[in-house]
This record gives sequence, structure tokens and C-alpha cells, in this order.
Amino acid sequence: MTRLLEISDLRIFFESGFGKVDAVRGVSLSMDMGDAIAVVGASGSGKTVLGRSMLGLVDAPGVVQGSIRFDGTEIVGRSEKDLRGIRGLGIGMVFQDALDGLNPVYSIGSQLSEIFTVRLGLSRSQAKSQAISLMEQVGIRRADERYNDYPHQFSGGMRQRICIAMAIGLKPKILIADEPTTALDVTVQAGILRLIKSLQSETGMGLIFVTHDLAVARMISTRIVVMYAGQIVEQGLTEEIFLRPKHPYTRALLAAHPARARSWRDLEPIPDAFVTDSSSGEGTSHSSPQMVVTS
Amino acid sequence: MNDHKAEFKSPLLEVQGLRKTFGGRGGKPGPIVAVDDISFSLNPGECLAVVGESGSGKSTLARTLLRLLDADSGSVLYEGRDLLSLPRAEMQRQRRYLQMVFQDPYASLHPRRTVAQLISEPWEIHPGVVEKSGRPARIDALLAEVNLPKHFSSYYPNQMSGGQRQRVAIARALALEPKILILDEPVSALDVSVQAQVIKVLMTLQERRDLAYIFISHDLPLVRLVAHKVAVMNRGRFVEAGPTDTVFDNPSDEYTRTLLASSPAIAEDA
Amino acid sequence: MFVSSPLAVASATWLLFVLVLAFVVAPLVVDVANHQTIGLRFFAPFQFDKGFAFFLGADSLGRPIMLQLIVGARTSVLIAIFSVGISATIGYAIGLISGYFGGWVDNILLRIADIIHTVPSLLMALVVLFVLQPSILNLVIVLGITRIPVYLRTSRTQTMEVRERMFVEVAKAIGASDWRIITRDIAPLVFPTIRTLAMLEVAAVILSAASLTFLGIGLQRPDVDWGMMVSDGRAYLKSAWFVAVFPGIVIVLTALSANILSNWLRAVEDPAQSTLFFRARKKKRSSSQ
Repeated sequence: MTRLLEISDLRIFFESGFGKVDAVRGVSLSMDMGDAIAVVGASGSGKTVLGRSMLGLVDAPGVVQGSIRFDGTEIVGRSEKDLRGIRGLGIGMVFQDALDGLNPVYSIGSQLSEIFTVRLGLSRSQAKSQAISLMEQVGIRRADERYNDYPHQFSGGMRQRICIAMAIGLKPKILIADEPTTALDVTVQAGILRLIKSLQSETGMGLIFVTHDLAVARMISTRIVVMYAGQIVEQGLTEEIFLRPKHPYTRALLAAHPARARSWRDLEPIPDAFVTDSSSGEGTSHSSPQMVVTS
Repeated sequence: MNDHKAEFKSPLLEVQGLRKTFGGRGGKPGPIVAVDDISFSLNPGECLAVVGESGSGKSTLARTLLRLLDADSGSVLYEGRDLLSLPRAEMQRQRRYLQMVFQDPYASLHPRRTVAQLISEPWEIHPGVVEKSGRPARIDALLAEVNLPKHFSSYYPNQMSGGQRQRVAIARALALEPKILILDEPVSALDVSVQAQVIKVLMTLQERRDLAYIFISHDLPLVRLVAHKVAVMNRGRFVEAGPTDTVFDNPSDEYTRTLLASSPAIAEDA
Repeated sequence: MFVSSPLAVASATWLLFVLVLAFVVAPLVVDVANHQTIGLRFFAPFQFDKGFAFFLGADSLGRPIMLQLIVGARTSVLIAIFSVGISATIGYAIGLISGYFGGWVDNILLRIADIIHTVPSLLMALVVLFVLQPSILNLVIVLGITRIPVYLRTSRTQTMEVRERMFVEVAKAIGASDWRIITRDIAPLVFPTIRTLAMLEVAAVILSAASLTFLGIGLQRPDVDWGMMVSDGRAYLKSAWFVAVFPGIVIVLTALSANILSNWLRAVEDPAQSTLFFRARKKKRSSSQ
């Protein structure tokens, strides 16, 4: 039986004038339609690179080895032309910064319609009506009136909704969301998370949600994958991870989360040795985690 | 909760009717009201949290308190003297007692300076606080207070992680022995897993030095851990203010309730 | 790191070579360079018959091109360095002040720059030099002043951008004076751009000087620069191509080297740029593409 997505022993590293940097060190993961997986890790854990590699978005000087099979077809090593066929139609992606994803000089209506005219060959009027119903689907009110507005005329949360619309417009089987709410206010974040959840249950698509915040992961996922230093240290059902975390790093993450503590004295900072911020000179990952735990 | 005992002494800071607008011309108030008639007081050792989302005016409030922006009206009494009406030179001198830690650890440190240079810069601007000969020792001491090892003093910002940079920013803010720290979203730009580090440092410092904090944040679960008092800010006004537990357990304002309901909560398991 | 970029090495070598020629060799060969031998008019290049000096041929008055190039190097380099130095320094400084303070200071300075900018610099140079005596000094002054606006604008814009950055706000919060912020915080960050611009401008100045000397103003023989050589040779392109082409090649090589070197400097200072620079050869994508 072909899984929707099957990643086997994925390894990604970057060669620069300063040496070799391992971003992903042997990750294996699989999912089916309807799964909602949260990839949780700190900056430098490799979670973003992992997400991007699923769409073949890791450019030189990065090197990708191993296997990523989407619906049976191998993604690693595919030509740009083939990958373009998968992007949007098979797998859609939403990025952290909504401003990056939208071209400021075109109206959002035209950007959304472009998806339909270019990828599906629809006529302009068909594309327009599809675009408007897509905008409604992601919760933009008075979509027909706002069709001609420009990105800067929308708030941050609205722009992110539009980016989500662009990612799901072609009805992909998987949606990858890379920290889509990190830059947003708390109330706006709640709305976006609700939107993603409802879209997922409506369409049954698979969801991979990359985040550094366990609390957010809990709201959105059925399974959690914890990443540390390029490897998966624990994965399992969401509630299992919260009730019975097995790996020391997972436990450390929980102990350090402000929402878990009663007083600031309860907070247990993750020791510097564990911090994997890729920009740090001190405290880059030293030891590999002792065991990999799956439940 | 913050169980550090903040005894009642006379308020360190008393803000009355602070108002700041934008879009005005020639000194007249403009149409955009960012800070609308804000009043509060702050005692030594106390942590006041100002909670709001973007656009609430909280950052403008911080800058107006420090006279980085000129207020339209109101007063900011520090130890009885109104900072807003002091002559510039005198204000420069008072600045050492009210320091600020900014949100973005990647932007608030000058990229071409070492940690030692960053921390000693306040001493160059305010000569007389620490003699040149004593500076290296003070730098080591400050780094120790923020849990950073001594050898960090020769590092450049790009060699450090976000959490480390933010701790350097805190060390720098302490260089002039301030009495009040204004913390503008001090951990929002950091991964959740790193926030604990910085929060612990901040709270330990508060206890040890009896500092007063104005802690600006949009993160409610975090605020609950660190604040004695909370003021919820929306569109320039404090829509609700009071002791932390009261505001959290019995919010009276609609906006406060919405904020509370939106925070992802992962407390209370099994 | 220097070694891993052969382009930078080559460029630096060429520039060093030019400088050595300009300041060490030129004074020694000046007389021979300017000696006219009508009989050797348009002597063809690539022969050693008349000695090493004539290896690149001779011009319309029989002067050896190779030596002319060397003497011209000194003139061109001097003009370029000094006029770029003047305009960059003045433009940099004024831009910092203008960009930092804004308000009426900015307005006035900007208007002055606009006035300089509006009158075509070449026209202005023409007029001024027509009145003044042609000499290297006057050429340098005129080129220096007319080219200030581009540095001023660049410096001003960058200053305005850096001014908004958080560490500037931090410095103010600590109580730093404006002067301190400008000189210690902002200026060093604006400098690399000005330096890059200056190195790129070197080529433009050489060409501007050439245009002026082509029109017969600015320099007079026996002062000679590469631009003058090119314009001298223009009329003979069909019959004696080498008179114009050799100085042309030299101009291109020098300008190119200045560009490459300034890019290298940028790459070395800014880690984010360096991977682009050092791996410029390897355009191949990762194995996943």
C-alpha cells in the first residue's frame, strides 16, 4: 500500500566556504490522508529544512540525500520541471512571513486567479469566480469587493489567510505550514489555527505543521514529531507526548514551556548544551540524543 | 505567579494622563491616538505587565515613558520629578535609572561590536558610573549575573544564539545600575524552549536587585508567571488593570476575555 | 580565503601592476614616452625591431604606445583616486548628517545636491575647465565636485535606513549624543557601500576624464591619460586600430578589476554574501533538483 508521504533516511547538509553543516541527519517519517503532524523543534533543529525539502525547495549549497516519496513518486533528485508539477497541485506550502509570499504590486485577486489560469487553464472569468470562493473559504468577508485590493491593504492575519488560500487552491493532498502563526498576535493566531483545522477536516488533506511551540502543536495535530539537531528524537500521538513524554529532550521542552508552569521558579530552562540555534558559536549540538523513541 | 515580595514603599514611578498622538503638525496633537490617557504607578521590586496586541500602543507607551518619543501631554514622575519636563541634559543623566530591553535580540545589538564593547558602551556615555580600571571586572560580573560564561565578552552578536543575545542586552541594561527596566516583549522573538532561560534570569535579577519592571508582552501564560499587576491595553487605553490573579481569574473586560480564550494552553495534565 | 578566489587574486594583481607602473615606472620613462619620431608613425605592434618600448606600436606622432600607457596610467590613476576621494569623502559626510537629522538641514543639503546634479556634470565641467587652465588639479577638482551627489544620496539613504535600526534606538535610550551615534554607530555601517561605490566610480571617472580630454579640455599634452589616448586613436581605428584599442583594453581591465575587488571585499566582510561569491563557479543545484 502506498503511503501518501514516505520519507526514508533523509539526510540534508550544506557545504559552505566554512565547512559542512548537517541540517537533517537521517529522518524517517510517513503519513496518510487525513493525518495532521506537527514537527516541533527549536531553531536549528532542522525542522524548516525538512519541510522545504518535501517540495524540493532546498537549493545549492544544500545537498539532499535519501528518499521522499509522495504518493509513490520520488521527490529527491527530480527535475525542476517535474517538481513544479507537484508543487501546488500535489503539495501546497504556507510560509512564516505572509508578506514574502505575496507580490505587493499585484492585487490579491489577480494573484489567486493566476493559479487557476496558469495551472488549470481556466478562463479569466472562471478563475475569478474560483478565486472568490477560495477567499470565502479562508474566511475573507466580502470577498468579491476585496478581490481587487492589494496585499498592503490587508492585515497580517488576513494576508496569511490569503497565503493559505494560494496554497490550497489547487486542492493539494498535503499542506505544509512552516511556522505560519509565529509572527502573528495571539488572537489572530487562534483564528488561523482554527481555519487550518477546519480546512483539513473539510478536505481530508494531510497536514504537516512546523512549529517551535508545543502548545500550538497540541492545538493542531494528531501526531507530534520532536526534532533535535537534525534527528527525530520522539514521535507519537499528540496526547501521548504530553501525558507520557519519553525522551529527555521532549520532557525538557515541556518543562521549559511557560504555559506549563505555575510560577517562574518552576521553569526549567533547557541547558545551553542542548540549544541548537544554528547561529550560535557556543552551544551548538554536542552529543547526539541517546535514544530515539517512538510510541 | 510572581511571589517576590514587593513591599509598599512610595512609588518609584508615577505616570499620569500620558498621551501620545501621531499625525499632528507643528506640535499640535494629531488624529492617530497611540497612547490615550494612561496612568499607573510602579513600586520598587514590582513587575507590572502591560498586555496588548500589535497596534495597542504598548511599544509607543514604552518609548514615550523614556522620552524616545515626545508625549503630547501627561507626566512621568520618577522619584517625584517629572521626566517629561526635565531639560535635555538632565534627562540624559536620569536615563541611567530607566533602562530598556528591546524585543529583537538580532537587531538591538550593534553587529560590529563585541559583547565587552556593547556592555561598556553605557559607561562611555555616562562617565563616572564605573571607572575605566574597574570595567573588565564589572563586565565579568554582569555576564555572571545573566548566566553567561566569561569568555563571551569577546564574542560578536552573530556568534551567539537569540537567547544569549538577549541576555547580553539585559547585562547591558544593568550596566548603569538602573532602578527600572522596561522590557518590550523581551522573549517574543525567541523560541518557546529558549524563553525560560531569559525569564529565569530576569526574575532572579529582580529579586536580587529589587528592580521594578514594566513587562510588555502579548503572551498571557507568560505574563501570569512574572507579573504582580497586569494592565490590558487596547487601542491606547488600559481597558483593565489589577493584580495578576484577579485579572486572570475574573476578567471584567470583553477584550481581556478574548485574549485569555485565544492563548494555547497546555497546563494541567493528568 | 583570498586564495580560494582566483578572480580576486587576478584583479588585485592587475591593480597592483598598474599602480607600480603608474608610480614607479612612469617617472622613469616620461621623456621617452613623449618623444615624437615621425618616422615611426603608426609603427605596427608585436615586433621587437625597434626595441621593447615599441612592442605595442606607435601612435600618430611616433610615440611608443606602451610607454604612453605607462605614463597615462599615472595620470589616470591620480585623477581617479583624487577626484573619487574628494567626492566620496564629502558626499559620505554630508549624507550622514543629512540622513540622520532630516528636517530643514536635510532639505537644504538635498537641494544643493540637486542643483549640482541637475546640470549635466560634463557640461558643468566643460564650462569650468574652459575658464580655468587645463591641468590635472583642475580636472580633479571639477570631477570631484560634480560627482558628489551620487555619494551624498547613497550615504543619506543608507543612513536613514540604519537610523531606524534598533541598536540606534538603544544607544539613544542609554543617552548617547547624536554625534556619537553618527560617528560610531552609523558611519561604519554606511562605509562599505560608499567604498564599493567609490571603486565602481573609478571606472566612470576615468571615462569622464576621457570625454573631457577628448573635447580638448582638461588636459593638454604633454599630460596624457588613457582616455586621451583612446580619443586620439579614434580617427585611426581602421588603419591603426592599436592606437585606440590598447588603451581601451587597459581601461576595461582596470575598471573590471576594481569592481571585482570591491565585490570580494564585500564578500569577505559579509558572511551572507560570501557563499555566492566563492561558489560563483559552481552553478549546479543540489542533487534533489
